[in-house]
Order: sequence, then C-alpha cells, then structure tokens
Amino acid sequence: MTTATQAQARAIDPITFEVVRHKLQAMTEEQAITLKAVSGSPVVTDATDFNNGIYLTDGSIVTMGPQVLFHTGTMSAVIRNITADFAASPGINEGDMYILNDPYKGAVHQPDVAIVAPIFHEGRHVAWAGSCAHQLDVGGMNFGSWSFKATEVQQEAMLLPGVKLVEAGELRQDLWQMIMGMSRLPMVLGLDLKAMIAANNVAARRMVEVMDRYGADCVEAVMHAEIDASEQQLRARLRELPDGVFRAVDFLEHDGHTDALYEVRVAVHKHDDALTFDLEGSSPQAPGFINCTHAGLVGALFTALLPILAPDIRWNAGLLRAVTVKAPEGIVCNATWPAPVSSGTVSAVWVVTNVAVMALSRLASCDERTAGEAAAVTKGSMTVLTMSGADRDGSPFGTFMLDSTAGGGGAYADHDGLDASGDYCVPRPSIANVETNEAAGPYLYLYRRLLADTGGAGRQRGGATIGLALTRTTCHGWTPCSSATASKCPTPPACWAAWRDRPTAIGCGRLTAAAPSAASRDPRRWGSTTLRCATWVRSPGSSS
Amino acid sequence: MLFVGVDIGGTFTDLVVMDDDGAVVTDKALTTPHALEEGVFNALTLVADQRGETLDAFLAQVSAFGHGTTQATNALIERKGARTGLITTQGFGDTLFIQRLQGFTAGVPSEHLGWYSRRRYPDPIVARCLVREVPERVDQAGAVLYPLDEEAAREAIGSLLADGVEALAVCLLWSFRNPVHERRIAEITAELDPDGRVFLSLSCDVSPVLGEYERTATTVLNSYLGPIVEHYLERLETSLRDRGFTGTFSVLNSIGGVMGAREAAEHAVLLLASGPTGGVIGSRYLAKELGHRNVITTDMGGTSFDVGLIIDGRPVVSAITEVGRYHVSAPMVDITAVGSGGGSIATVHDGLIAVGPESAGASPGPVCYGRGGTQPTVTDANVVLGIIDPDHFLGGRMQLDRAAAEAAIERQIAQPLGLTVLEAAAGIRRIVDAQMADTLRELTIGRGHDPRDFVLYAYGGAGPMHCAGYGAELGVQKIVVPTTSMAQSAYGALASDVQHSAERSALMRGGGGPQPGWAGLEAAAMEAQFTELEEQCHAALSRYGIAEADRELTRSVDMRYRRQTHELIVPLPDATVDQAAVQRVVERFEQTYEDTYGRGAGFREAGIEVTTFRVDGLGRTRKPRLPQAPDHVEAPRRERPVYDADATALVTAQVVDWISLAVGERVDGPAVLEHPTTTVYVASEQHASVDEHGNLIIESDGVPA
Repeated sequence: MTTATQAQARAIDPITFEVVRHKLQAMTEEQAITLKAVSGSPVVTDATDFNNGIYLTDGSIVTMGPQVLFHTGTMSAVIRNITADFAASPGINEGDMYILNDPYKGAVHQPDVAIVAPIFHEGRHVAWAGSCAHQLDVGGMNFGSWSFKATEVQQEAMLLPGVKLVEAGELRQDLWQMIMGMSRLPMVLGLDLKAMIAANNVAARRMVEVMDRYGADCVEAVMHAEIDASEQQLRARLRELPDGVFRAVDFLEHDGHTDALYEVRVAVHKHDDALTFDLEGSSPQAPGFINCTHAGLVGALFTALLPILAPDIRWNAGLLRAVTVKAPEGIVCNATWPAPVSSGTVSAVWVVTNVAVMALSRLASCDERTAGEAAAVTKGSMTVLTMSGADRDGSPFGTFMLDSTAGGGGAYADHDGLDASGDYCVPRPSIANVETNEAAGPYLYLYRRLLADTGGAGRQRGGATIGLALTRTTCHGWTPCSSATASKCPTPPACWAAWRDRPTAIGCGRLTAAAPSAASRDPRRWGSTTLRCATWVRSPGSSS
Repeated sequence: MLFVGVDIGGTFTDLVVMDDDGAVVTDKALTTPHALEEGVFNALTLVADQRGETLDAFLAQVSAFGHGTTQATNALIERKGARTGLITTQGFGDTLFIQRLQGFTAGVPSEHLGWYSRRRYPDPIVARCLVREVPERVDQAGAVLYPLDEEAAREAIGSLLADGVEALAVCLLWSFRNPVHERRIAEITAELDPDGRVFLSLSCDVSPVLGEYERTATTVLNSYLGPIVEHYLERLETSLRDRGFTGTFSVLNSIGGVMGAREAAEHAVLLLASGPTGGVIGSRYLAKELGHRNVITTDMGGTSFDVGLIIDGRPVVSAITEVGRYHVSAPMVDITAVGSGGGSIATVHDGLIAVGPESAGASPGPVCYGRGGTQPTVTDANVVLGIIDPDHFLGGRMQLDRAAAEAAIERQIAQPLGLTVLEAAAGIRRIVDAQMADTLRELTIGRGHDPRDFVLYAYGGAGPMHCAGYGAELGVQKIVVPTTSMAQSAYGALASDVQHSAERSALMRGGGGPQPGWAGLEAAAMEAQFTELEEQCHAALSRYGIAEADRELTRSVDMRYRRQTHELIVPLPDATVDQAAVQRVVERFEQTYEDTYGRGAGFREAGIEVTTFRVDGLGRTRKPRLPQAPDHVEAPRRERPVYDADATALVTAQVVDWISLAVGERVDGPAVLEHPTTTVYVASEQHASVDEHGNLIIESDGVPA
C-alpha cells in the first residue's frame, strides 16, 4: 500500500469504514444470487461450484463468496495474467469483459471458466468484478472435459487465455459462437456464461453507485484497509502460535495411464508472523491429467488456511500476504506446460488441500486458542461421476453428478466429524434431490443413503459417507465415467495429541475419504469406466 | 359487533379489537408458554376492562376471532412435537437426515459460514429408529416400476404403532406424480389403527411438489406438529365458546389466509411462519385501503429485522422456506430475516467496529434494561443519543439506565476507537441502519424492483425508531408507521381473508433452438391442470362457507429456461387458456426475466419449461372499515437534545406525543414522536404527519406530500 492510501485510510472514520465494507460484501452476495438465478447448470445451482468477488486493480481479492473456495485463490492470477498480456492490446476498457479458462494463465482446470470485468468510475479503472463457475463441458476428448487419456493440455479442452468476450458492453457474437461450437452442451454453457456476465454487471453497477455516494477515494481506501486488517489479524494469530515446521504427506494413485503412486509433501514453516508452504519433495509431474498448475496450488493452500486459521477473519488477499509458497517447477502440484491438468481440482489440488489441512491442524493444535479449529481431513478424495448420452427424447444429455460431495467430515478434538459433510472447499454445500436428477436425465437411483461404519474410528469418529447406486433407463449411447482416488491409500489422520491437556488421538476421516462407497463390486459392470470407481452403476438386464 | 385479532409471540400476546365504527383498542399480556390460552384470556380481560365490560359480555359481542401463533414454531424449536414415525421408499430412509447437506448451514449467518468447527446437523424431528423403508417404486413419469409390497408396508406400520408413535408421515419418491402407494399405505394404516389415534400425513396431500427432501421434511413436520396444534386449538376454541363466544374462530397461516381449527390442524405445517406473516397481511390490508400497490414491510424487533414485499397488491411468496433448520416446501409469504435488531450487540476488535448478528435478545437484553446485559446494543445507542427517553420507555412502564448504557459504549466502543461516546453511539446506529438498507436493496434492486416505486411500512418494537435512517437511504417515496404498528401481526390476523392454494408439479416444455418459446406448449393441457386445481380451491372455500360471489381465484405458473433450477412465477388471466394466452404468458416470462437480470440475460435458445401450476383461492370475509384517527388529545410539544446520526451533530429535536397530533398536522424533523407503546424518530430533512386513519406518514422534505 502506498503512503498516500494509508493516509486516506486513516482519514476514514471507523463507522464509514464499516458501512462501506458491508456494502462491498453485499455486492458479492448479489453477484451470487444473480449467477445462481440465471445459470442452468445443477453444478452451479445445486452444488454451488462457483465463486464471485471484487478485486483491486492489481487482482488482490477484496471480497469473496461462501461458495467453492478454490476459485477465489486463483482469481488474482487470472486478473494479473490478463493485465500483463492484454492491457496494451486489445486493451482493458470500460464495458469490457474477458473470459479465461487456461490453467497456465490462472484457471484451476479448464472447466472452471472465469469471466472478469474491469470496473470504471468516472473514466478511471478502479477495481475488477469477477465470477468463476465450473462448466459441464468445455470440449476436449471426453464428455465433461475430464480427459483421462490426455498426455498434453492441448487435447483436454478448449483453451481461452483471456479473450475479450464483451467489448464496450456488447457481446461479441463471433467469439460467442466459436466458444459454443466447442462445447457438447452449448445451451448449458451459454446460460452459465450469461449468468457470469449478469453477475459482473450487477457488481459493476453497484460499485459505481457506492463510489458516487462515498467517493472513489474513500471506497478504494476501504478496500485497501480491509485487506490490511485481515493481514494484520492473521499475523497476530500466527505470533501467538509456536514457531516450528509441520509436515504432511498424501498420495495420488493413478495418472490415467498407469497405476502409479505420486506423493504430495508439504512442510509448513511457521516463523514469527509468517507461514511458508514448501512443496519440495513432491513427485515430478505426471504424464496424465492429475497435475495442477501454480494457480491450482495457491487455490488449494488458501482453501486449507481459511477455516483453520481464519474462521473469524474476513477472507481476502490480506491472508495470502502472510504466506509464501515455495514449489519447484515440474512437480505434480506445480506442473509446467504442456502437462495435462483437467482432473487437477479433484487430484493434485485436492491432495494439496489435504496435506495443508493436516499440517495446519497440527500447528493449530499447539495452542488452546486455535486447537478447536484443528481437524482431521474432511473427505480426503472426490469421486467424479459424469454421465452422457441420449436423453429420453433422444436429444444430447450430459451431467456431472455431485452426490459424491456428501462424504464424511473430519473429526475435531471435541466432537465427531459430520456425516455427509460436503467438500472442505465449500462453506455452504448442497446436493440435488434424487427427483431433480431423475427428472433431468435418463437414469434411476436404487438407493442413496448413509453407509454404516464408513467414518474413521477414534475417540471422536469421522463422519459417515453416503453411498448410491444408479441404473440407466434408456439403452442407447449412455456412457458413465467415474474416477476417484484414495481407495488404496486412505487419508491419514490430521493431528495427534499435540495439545497437552488433550492427550488422546483424534478420530480420523480415513474411510470417510472413500465417498461414495459400495466400491468395486464387479468391475465388469462398468461400461467405459476408466479408473477405480467408487460408485456402483448397473445396466438394465444385469442380474444383481 | 367486534372483531378480535390476536398474535401469540414469544414474549407478548398482542391483541387488537376493532368495532363496527373502526375504533381500535390494542393491548398486550405476557405470553404463557405452559398454556397459551391463559395469555390470550389475560389480554382479553385487559381489553374488556378498558371497555368497562366483563369478559363474558365482551366475548358475546365478538363476531370473528382471528389469531396468529408462533406455537408451531416454538414446538419445533424446542423439539416438543409428537413422537413421529416416517415411511419412505426403500433405499431412501436417510433423506431427512442428509438434508441435501443443507442442515448444518441452515440459519447460519454468512459471516459465520467459515467456522467449520461449529457446524452441526439440527436435532432430528424423527428418531432414525422410527424410519421404515418399504419396497415400491414409481418413476418420474408416474409409472409404477415396482408395486408396493403390502406385507412389508403392514409390517412397517404395525411396528411403528408398537413403538408408540403418535403421528405418522409417509413420503415416497414421485408420489406427487402417482399417489397410489401412499394412498394404499393410508388404507392399511386405517385398518391397523381403526380408532384413528395416530395423526397421519401423506406427502401427496401436504406438499405435492418435486423434491423429496423438502417434501419429506414438510410432511414430517406436519405430523410432528399436527397433534399439538390440534389439542391447542381445540382447547382455545372450547374455552372461548364456554365464555359465550359465538363468532367464527380462525387461525392465520403462513400464506396469509385464515383457516378453521380443523383445517389448521390438518395443515399444521402451514402455521410455521404464521406470526411474521400477520404483519405483512395487516400491511396489505392497510395498503389496499390507502392505495399503495407496492409496499416494503419492515418489522424490526429485538433480535431480527423481517422484510416482506407486496407487489401489485400481493405479498411475494416463496416456494421453499427454512424453519427450525429444516426446509418446508409449501408456498409461504416470503419473509427475509437478518440479525439486525434493537438487541444487536456492538463490538470492537483490532480497531474495527461491528454490529450484530449476535443479539442480547430479551434476556439479558440491552445494558440499559439493567437485567444483566453488559455488551452495548443498538437500543443502548438510541438511549445515549436521546431518541429513547429512559423515563418514558413503553409509556413509563420500564425505567431504563442511561448511565449504564453510556458507560458500556464509552468503555467498549468509544475509547478503543478514539471517539466521543455520542459519536460511537451514532456510529452503532448508522451501521445497523446501513445493514438494513443493504438488505432492503438486495431484496428490491437485487430482484429488479425500483425502491422509488414503493412505500415502506415500519413496525415492530424498533422499526419506527430506525425507519428514518434505512428508509431514507433506500430512497422510498414515503414511510408509513401504521397506527397498529405495535400489534401489526394481530391486526393481520383480524384483517385476513380465507385463503386456499392448490398447486401441482407438471413439466411442460416449449421452444428450443430457433423456435419461439410457446411452440409445443399445449393450451388444452394447461387448461386441464388449472381446471382441476380450481375445483380443489372451490371445494375448500365452500367448506369454509364462502359464497361463490365472494371467491377470487388466480392462476399462475412457475417458468424457467430449460435446465435452470430457479423459476419465476408468472400470473395468467382468469380465462380459458388458448394458444394466444400461451404466447402471452411466455412473452411475459421473457420480459420479467430481462427486467430482473438485465438486457440480454434471457436465453431463448434453451427453450422454456413450465414446472408448476398453481391456483390461489381467496374468500372474502366480512371486515371492519379502516380505523378512524382517534380525536387528538392536547399536549404541549417539548424539546430535547438528540444526537443525529447522519448529521453527526447534537440537534434540538421536538418531542411530540403521537396522540396529540391532529389529522394533517405537520411535524418537522428532527423530532421524536412518543406513544405509550412505541417511539418514532423523524430525521432532519424529513417531516411527519398523521393521516385520517391515525397512521403516521414520514416524507423527505422536497418530496410533495
């Protein structure tokens, strides 16, 4: 922050500060309401796999929503890359919006499409509004753009490095049609892109109104001061904790080509009021789609940090300022171009979150004031299940089933983990009704229930996962595809008795990792299934 | 002839009595949780006393007794419902426990969603051991894929009866498409329970709409609350009759209509938002008489700020409502509650001030109450600023401790921030006003409504004290503080019509690609849906004794672009649906959509889906005329210093007794209007006057009256 802005921030009275700050958060709430209302994708509307926010002109996060946290950590990289690459040509002007899904330019993986809009006030660029949402299909070799046979990023999906989709308030039809033409579900993608554009419009309009009323200087100073405040609060918390190194390791099991093991290692160095995450020692990048780029790595570390060390601090870029990330190039969680990354979110990003949760929980359990936030890993893996083919009326159908987010929650020192907890990266999770899913596509549930004894054992047990069974109801061209990890290497417990008054083991989320289970009944029943599957799918006519 | 409205709230039982001339008497008594009818009789006795009559003589003149109640809500919150058993489709017995993963974030303010360590599922309303799964299956088209295993059903019901359940709920997949298996289970239950001792709810009756979690929760809640509501209403009605009451007895439901005692017991789940709905319905009645088509209703109490919208004379309704951390799928008046109230606590951490959502509530309450509260609240700020007179709070019935409020704000807010105590108190007020204004913006502008088209109604304990701030910031035309503001919900119970809604999920698709949205939508099929729903409404209204001439039926559908999950409600004219009407309804949907989400947001290529058909039936009941302003009582205007939060300066405010104002008499802000049960603040650059009905109208200077 410049000295001038600091002076301005000091000049703002604390009351005006709180009033304006609340308005910035309200804008982000309104972005989310708009996005959900316009979107036509159950991934967005039911599973809230999206996020919105307001950012400084340099991309620093000012506000974010309580939806998928991975998206937020990466938005700064999205904005910084667009600024670096395109400020000169084709330029960043009033009424423009850029669309980006290139993981080497800031996206977590290709289906996570971001649209960002510069906000101008009286002709001056004052902030960015942004939205990011998981898309059902952005092309590539497989439905859903989970490209398990890919060996390079070019095969996986369309790649948008930051393209000016909206220019001076007008949607560019040439680009629109090009993007629609590359998706298997253009109607769904179209609604989602319109939803993100609408959400950004709402934020930009609101920001201009607030700046008109309180002055752009005032609002900008509040945004900076808000980030400073969170940084200072996190640093103060870190100073209370003992210095030390906290290590954790977890594994990725299959790279889409071979059943190899990949390690993700983290060493969290806590010194004074700062944290360094060192990923040295993690496996080299894979030849398949399980890698993630630097953007995904940062998104994962940010996600792990928030609920453990900052549950009561407002979430923004200030928290990242107390953090340094050291990761060698070319490892599975900091891959170099053109390594494939389309499964990054549920593979490398997921496992980085796991190890960061483990290491940070050990750190948190060293002090009574933070020990209550230390937890075993929640739902250490994510099962992806996509289904595509012909709908009942013969039209193209495809979906990304998110029931598998209902895995078990990690235990805490003083209470059991939650049954059906939702993903760690989602503060307000949700799954669709069985009836909603059956209405949307040609398949039938045989059951969806909590599975007994799937919570890891311990004085406090981990939460139970749900399991489900499906069968298709039409017989033509139906392709289920599922991938999951952590069937072989259960997620280790996060923390042991570091806290002297609680000399007991904490229940781990070991089996809770394998959601939803009823796993590996009979692999011959698996149509074109590729990896180990944690969901039982039955075709009509089969006997069991 | 007298009309009585009662609202049984958590703390007070409010009562409004109106006579044929529109003269209004209000009073309140403490709610008696152990036997709610006691509080009702206490309040009735107070009013009878005011009128100089005996209770029996008073009751004999009452022609209609309407009441709203939080009894169902409290029974749910305290988990005091009936021992309930649940029967589901085999394989789906955990649906109510999984809650679509929404149970542990329900009711959590967004500021607290990051506290993962505090997440908990709500206490169950059905014990898992009282859930039985039966083999059967119906598919999305309503076809029976696997017939009900009757032996298994018999076994399930028998074992639940043996387990001593007082109520049963049945929710099978897709039963709203084909209820045959649920109906058969009802028949078997009748065989096994011939005396009908067990209260039974079927999901195809209670909530015949898509979405098995919400449908299950709604059906279970209906059974869980039914027996309690039944006993309570029976007791109350009988005791009124015993004392000579011969009029109609009704209960206000959450969609804003009244129901008789029997129907209310059968639909107990519809009482879950009865209390706050009363305020909106009372406002709608008033708005109709005053000619206000669009109204924002704001009810600011001790712990929450409840907002409702009336658009084109109708309360906005939502399809799913969260109550007691479960989700009810039945149309209810849409009331958004945020944690801003008189009891909201102000804190300073690391030089940053925050107000709410934590509340001191009624106990321990604000510091100035002297009941053990130590953290400064919004009410404490109002006392320090001079808006609340500590010697005349609630008409002098409660002495407030101004020095204690000042000391708390001084020590906990002013000193850490380097402000004077007045600046700190003004800050608390500005922040809470801005939060409420932000909520109002989200609910109006955020949904495509321009607040300048609305009149804002303010009621509840703290609403009239704060509406000057949040109303001005929102930019509404004018603010109305109703003469019944201290008992607005009771007024709603008195003013409500009989209401019966019927709806059904039925998916119809039109358009897609280059075709217009109405292509493929069949007028005759739509008409058939409406005809059947209208028959249901007529039957219900005639059961209530409403003559055909007094019935008003309105049709609407829920529409969306294909694959969306969020629908817009689109009304249809009351005429046979033909192809031209289908085209008009699609056009109206597309227009509403663009109005709401901006030009170009529509996506016609995706095609249109109609998901739900609905008929709202209204039966007009006899109602008193609007109250006339009582004759004003001469009382001198006074003055006292008040610190104006927006002007950030001490100003000299006029202090005026509300009842001393003649119709049309103007009071310029800054002013405090005092009434035995409420305090109204009028800010600088605003003025207030009393209309012919006794309501207080606040307008900004420069806006023509």
